[in-house]
Amino acid sequence: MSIHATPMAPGAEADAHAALTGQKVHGASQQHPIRLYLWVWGWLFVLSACSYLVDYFGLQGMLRWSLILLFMVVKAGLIVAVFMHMAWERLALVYAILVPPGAVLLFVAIMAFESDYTHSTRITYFGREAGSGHTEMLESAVSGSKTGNPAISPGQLKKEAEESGPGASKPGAEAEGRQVATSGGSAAAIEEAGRAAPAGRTTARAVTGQNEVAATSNTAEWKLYTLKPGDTLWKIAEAVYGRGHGAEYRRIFEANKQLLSDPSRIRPGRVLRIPPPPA
Amino acid sequence: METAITDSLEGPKRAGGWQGFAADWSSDQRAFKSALWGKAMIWIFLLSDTFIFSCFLLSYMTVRMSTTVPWPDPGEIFILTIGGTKYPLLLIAIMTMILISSSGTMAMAVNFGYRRDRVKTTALLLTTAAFGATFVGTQAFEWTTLILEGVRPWGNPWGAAQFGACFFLITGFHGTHVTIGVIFLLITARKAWRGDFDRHARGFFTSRKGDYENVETMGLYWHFVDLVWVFIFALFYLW
Repeated sequence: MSIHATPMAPGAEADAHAALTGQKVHGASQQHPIRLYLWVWGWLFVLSACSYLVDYFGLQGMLRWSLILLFMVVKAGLIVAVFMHMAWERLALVYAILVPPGAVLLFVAIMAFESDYTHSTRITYFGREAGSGHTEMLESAVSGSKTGNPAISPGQLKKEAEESGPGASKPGAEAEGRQVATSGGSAAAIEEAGRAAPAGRTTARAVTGQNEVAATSNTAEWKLYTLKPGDTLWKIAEAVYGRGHGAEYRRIFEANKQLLSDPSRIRPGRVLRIPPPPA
Repeated sequence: METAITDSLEGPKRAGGWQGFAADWSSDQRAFKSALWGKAMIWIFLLSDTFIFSCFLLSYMTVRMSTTVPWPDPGEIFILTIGGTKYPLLLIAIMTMILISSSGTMAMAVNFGYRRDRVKTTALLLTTAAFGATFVGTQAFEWTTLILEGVRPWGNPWGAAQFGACFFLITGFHGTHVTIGVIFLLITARKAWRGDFDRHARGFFTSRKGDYENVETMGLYWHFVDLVWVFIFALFYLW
């Protein structure tokens, strides 16, 4: 939030001095040309659009995070410096307000360290069972994509999962049991498997691409299922295809694409066609 | 009259830089020579509010980093569907633009306030309030959509259960700030329109004399609300 680095329209500083010395009644009044405000206003729009475009173009990794932080800091700097007139206040006020939030940064560092530790202990103590489940799920995600991209092997996915950045939540541990049981995490699974892809984020899309389920011609074994409140595709898949095969919910989704726009948005009362289990 | 305070503002030319900093802090009566009482106090209030929002964002960072369950992807959740096409985060971008627009009109209102332009100040304050109300409305729509999709503070259909708690706490607290801001904008606009700031009429609650500086105090609060959204937008929606 460096206010000194903030570019200012030429003459604004002189204007401020004129305002401070020339005003008789309102000594502390801030009078600056409208042009300056419009200029900052325009830049705020541009910067907001830029940060939106970071997501739009799907930038990932360090580039994404540094751009987001850069635009955030510049926007905050412009608002504080010009809109809030901090650039024209005396240093006594500037430091009184801007220095204490520095302590927050220290707090951030401490908590980042602490959460990293919490995460590693969770993996260590709760991770074993779920860890194997996780591998299983990855494999099932991959086996579901037999017709899809053959270039990715389960081992490769696992390796990339381990390499995913610190910002991305790491896969594994208690995801399956608890999550599915409490809130019904149909898409938890997509995310779960999705995290394994290199990007570390927005990877549900990537998996969607891979899991092209081959249409089955054997219609004799198809079943109908009426959705109840609290159902998720994942739960249904586990019930139909057996425990550990929740990732097969993709087949159900594919078979009902004309009804469902999104695997996580299902409405009770609708009747789904349930495809037979994979051969 | 606050002559003592007002006089000291036009006092002898003060040293700048570090010398001025030391002189201000070691001087008698007031440390903040460039700010009247109200402005100094709103800044200190905003500083404390900064800490509150920092703590919320920090807790969000902590739960997001320490959970072993994948964090739901905002790009998949905050989707606006227009005519069958899905636009990720479009609603959030619109909300951001609304809030920035309101910040711009607020800055203008402060500017015209110092020019003692009663009509323009009032009009701009009302415009700011309208933008603020629109923002709250958009947020209500966003909350409704998510609640219907099954997001709760204790769980959601996509991943880490803490997502809902963070979302409702952070955006809810921010939305409350915007709502309070809109109420105070309307009060300030009414006062400006009645000419309270020209006549230095006393406020109904604080009994302090009104002045166009009140508009700037209001503005500082409102810009702060925008400022917080800048951080929420970057750290919660885009991260």
